[in-house]
Amino acid sequence: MRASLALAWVTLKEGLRERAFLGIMIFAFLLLLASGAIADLSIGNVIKVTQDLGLATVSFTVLLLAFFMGTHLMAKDLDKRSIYMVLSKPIGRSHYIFGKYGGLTALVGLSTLLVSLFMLVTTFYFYKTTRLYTPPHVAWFKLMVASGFIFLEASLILAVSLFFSSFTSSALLALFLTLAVYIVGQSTHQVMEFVQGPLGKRTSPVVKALAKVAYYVFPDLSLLDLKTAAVHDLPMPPGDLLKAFLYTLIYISFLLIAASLIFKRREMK
Amino acid sequence: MEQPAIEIEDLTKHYKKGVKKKIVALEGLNLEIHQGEIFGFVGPNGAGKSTTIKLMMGLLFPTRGRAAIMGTEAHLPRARREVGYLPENPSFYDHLTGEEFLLFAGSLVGMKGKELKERTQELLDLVGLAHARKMGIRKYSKGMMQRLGIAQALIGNPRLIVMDEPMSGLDPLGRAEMVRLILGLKEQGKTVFFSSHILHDVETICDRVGILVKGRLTYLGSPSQLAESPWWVLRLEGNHQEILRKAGFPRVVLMGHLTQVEVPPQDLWEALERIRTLGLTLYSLERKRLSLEDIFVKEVKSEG
Amino acid sequence: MRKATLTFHPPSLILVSLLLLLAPVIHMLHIHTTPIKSQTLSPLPRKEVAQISAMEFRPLLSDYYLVLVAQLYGGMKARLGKEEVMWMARALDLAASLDPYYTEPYYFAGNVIPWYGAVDTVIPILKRGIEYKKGDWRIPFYLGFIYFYFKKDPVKGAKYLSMATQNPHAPSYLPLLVARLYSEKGHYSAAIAYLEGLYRSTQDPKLKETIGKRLSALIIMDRLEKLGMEYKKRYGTFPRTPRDLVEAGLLNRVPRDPYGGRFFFKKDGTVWTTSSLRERKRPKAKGKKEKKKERSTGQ
Repeated sequence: MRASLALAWVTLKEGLRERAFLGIMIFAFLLLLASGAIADLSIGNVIKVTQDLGLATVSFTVLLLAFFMGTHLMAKDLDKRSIYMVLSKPIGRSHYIFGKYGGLTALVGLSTLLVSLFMLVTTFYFYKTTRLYTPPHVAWFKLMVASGFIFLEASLILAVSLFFSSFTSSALLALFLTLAVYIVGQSTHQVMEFVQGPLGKRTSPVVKALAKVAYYVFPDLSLLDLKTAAVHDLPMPPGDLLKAFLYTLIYISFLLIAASLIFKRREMK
Repeated sequence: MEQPAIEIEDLTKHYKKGVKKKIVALEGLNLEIHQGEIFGFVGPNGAGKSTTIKLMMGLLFPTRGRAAIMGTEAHLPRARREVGYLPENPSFYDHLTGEEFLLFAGSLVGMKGKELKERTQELLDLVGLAHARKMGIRKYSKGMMQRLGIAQALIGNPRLIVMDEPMSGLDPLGRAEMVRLILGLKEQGKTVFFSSHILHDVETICDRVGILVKGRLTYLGSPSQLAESPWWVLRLEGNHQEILRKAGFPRVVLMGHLTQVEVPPQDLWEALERIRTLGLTLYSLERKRLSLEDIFVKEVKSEG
Repeated sequence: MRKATLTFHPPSLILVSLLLLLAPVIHMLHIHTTPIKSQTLSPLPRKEVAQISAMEFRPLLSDYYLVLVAQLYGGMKARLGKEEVMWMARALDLAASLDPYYTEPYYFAGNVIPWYGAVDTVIPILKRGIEYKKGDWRIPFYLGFIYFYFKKDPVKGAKYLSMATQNPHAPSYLPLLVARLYSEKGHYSAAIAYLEGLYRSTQDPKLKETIGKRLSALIIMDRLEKLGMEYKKRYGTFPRTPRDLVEAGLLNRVPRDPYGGRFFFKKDGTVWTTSSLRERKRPKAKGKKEKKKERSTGQ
């Protein structure tokens, strides 16, 4: 347990000191600063557009971090063989996986906190300084909930990336596989809706079956996307939120256990 | 009887290459390392030294056979409680400082608090990195990395230290330091197992030496027996190659202003007599010392 | 010993991804700053394709299409041909289906597009809007008016107009307005009644100005038509131009078309204008500041 914590701490420090981390953060801040001006290109409720841009920036940057750090930090460890130094200590391989995951999650959590805080500040600024005839309604708490679920989504992506890193030595391959899971996970819900809707009459049964399999195997990431609900102040039933939370937690646990089992048998050439 | 520090039985490792081809990295290794000895593991590059060490450290899994460290099977995390490991060309989390890395390594072996801090300082002093403790590992030289690697191997005060090519890439001064360090560890009653592809490294300090060629152990014993050959080397002043060849000496070479002749032990007196009759002056006479290449060649031949 | 591996260079990959995100933003800015002549209508994806491929960034893509529509409309009112209007309607359809809770695409589709055409493309968009935005009285109101005025289908129009009046958020003057729509007889009367209601409920100064302009033109045209009837009673034929009315003493002077055209009478006595109620030239760039801050949510 302590070994995992130590590894998590070192992973977090490594991540924070990566140049890519700083770059992503600066980019996020600049984009948020510009969000008011970009939203101004639109008509009507520009604060809605500001919020869209803000939440999109949060999820884009946080996911970007999850994708790159998840695949990069572990692959670097394997490629540079710094992992020998860790695995030659009296700790189990699963401790390594859990420690790495803990550190990466802390890194992504910290950046979610930073970026979404800044998002709230900039949104508030534009909300106060943009004079609209009908004052726009901003659901501040729901924006925070949506940011929290972006973190949940990123945590799931991290687990996916560690799962793939547990058996591939190529970071690029792990990245592409993780990206594929993300894309399928993002669209599987929508595809399912199309297939079951009027469009489904024209689709072949093979495609339908594939869509169904994908829907059950891949994580349904649309469950974690509360951005529209937050921006339009739609109801967020606590029961649904809890279900989505537990769903993600179970999925992550499953992935990490699988990653540990695979990693236990992995040879460190 | 005392528990051996390392116990290796029939340890074998094959790698698959493609679908059908397999590579034999290690074949049927049997070895026992005693407590308190310095053991040198020698062999040319690609002989299987690193594979053996990784099998011992649980980084690789054997195709056949077993390895145990201090009585515990190598694949169990428990086995690594009593062992410190220095990988070949160690590399670290390079965004950390040397001190941070040692603190991290210490917490991995279960140390904490004041004990860990003191041990870290002690080791930084021991390996001479006290001045660079706050420096990012990124900026370390190769020698400094090697020293940091040793420090992290020693952090938990293990009874056995396993080092993969600890001398490679070090300058003569660094090598001397490493030798001193290894001898110091022995003095503390620790067991040291290290690999090298340079015979000279192991000759001077090892109690025992094992030679690995193409995945097989071809020699196990004291280094002095290994390096010495029964042949004699006679050196004569001036170039006398032609005369000596005509006189029936098979191994004659010119070395600068000296002509060198090698003779088997039973022919020594006869050879000296013949040289005297030829009217040549003897410059020196000594036992032949083998280079590692000679030994590898010899061992491989004797095997075949 | 070290095997050659494909190098993984996160900074460059990250840079590429960031640029990918920036591309639509840059595109918007580009359109914003490019002279109108060089604009071409970018091809629009199929709705399903856009919905799936935009993943969790659907609302952003929705905003993007609305910005494209707004820029096109704001920049080239005078040149709005059939093609442009169709394109705007389809882009609004995309925007509305990517973020079905976003009101602006519905308002734009219901309020602006039908005056230029593409009425049949707009109707299903508004029907979807009624499903998603239950508390919004405007969407059924626009739809009702479209049926009533553009589709000449008072039965369907009545259905949606009454839906709008029954909405608890509807303003108190709405029932009266609807009643007037049905009672007015003249050619332009219904449109005038509708635009009057719209004018009263609109707060965005730019939009209000547009509506006011159209309203004043329609009021003039309505009055001219009525005077034309009078003229016919006296002389047996419809006048050809407003000047005829002035000469007959029915009108003090020739009214000015706010769009810069000239009014004339068709053979059936209806009034139209050479401007076709469209802007002749691109309006001069407004003061940036004024345009920037004064916006209406339209709620």
